[in-house]
Amino acid sequence: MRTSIRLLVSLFLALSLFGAHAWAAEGKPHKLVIQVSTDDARTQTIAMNNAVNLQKHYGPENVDIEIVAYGPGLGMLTASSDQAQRVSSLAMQEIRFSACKNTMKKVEKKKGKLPELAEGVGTVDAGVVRIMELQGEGYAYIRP
Amino acid sequence: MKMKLLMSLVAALSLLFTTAAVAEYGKQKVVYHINYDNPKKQAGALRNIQNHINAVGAENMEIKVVMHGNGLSLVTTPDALERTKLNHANANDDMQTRILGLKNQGVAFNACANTLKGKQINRENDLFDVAESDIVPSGVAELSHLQAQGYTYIKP
Repeated sequence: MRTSIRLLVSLFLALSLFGAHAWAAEGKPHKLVIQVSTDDARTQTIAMNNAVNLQKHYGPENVDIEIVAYGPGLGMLTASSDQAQRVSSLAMQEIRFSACKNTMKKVEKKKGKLPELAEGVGTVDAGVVRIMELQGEGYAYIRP
Repeated sequence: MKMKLLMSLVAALSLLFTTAAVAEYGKQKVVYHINYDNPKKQAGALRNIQNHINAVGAENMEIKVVMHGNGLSLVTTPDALERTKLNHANANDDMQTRILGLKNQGVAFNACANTLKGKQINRENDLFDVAESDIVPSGVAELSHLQAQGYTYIKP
């Protein structure tokens, strides 16, 4: 009797663990990718405002947001950008930032060294490809 | 007699046109995103929508225009400009005609509640033909939600 209860409890534990894992793999219910491809500071600010507002609307635990910057938009994610501090701060609040490596290489060719990114910023091989892939994975897409 | 013939010809042609449109594209659900206040860009966006309808057929489409931030200027009447925090109010007679024309073909215009609050816009006094049911809680969340429902996103 005791054994069967123990078995049942472990089975239950195992199942709930499995359930939690499956949920984590599936990710959050709402997913959004935001494109930044302009060096216009106002548009860059709006992109970050949009991300913050969406997080407020759904709750940070329910929405997955990635901001992909490429071309003239890459500047926003560099350490020398006026926006760098806000970028790093939002990166700590679960908003993902992805810098396009293609663009970084272009900058390197022009200026002789790779641009230094703000703290908390990640990289992707190609910004446009990344946006396409995320849309394929069910992300909604906006270009502020 | 001639008139009748002409009319049936027109009817037949328009039927053919509609059928062709369906065959080419099938049904479409589309959300148009407007968050800028340049009146020329806005008028261009409305033209895009009309061309889109011409190609696909109004009866095959669900089109929503989601406006937030400065995009609210599209439906803000010029007399209201001073009362709001917007920099433009573009819903003059010409723009109103364009908007109504699209609405008559089933296009919905949705406005962001956050923006109304933030830009101090009063729905009843400051906006052209925006009903309570046209207000969505958050423009960005609405864009996200509609895409999850299968809407294609277009930012003209």
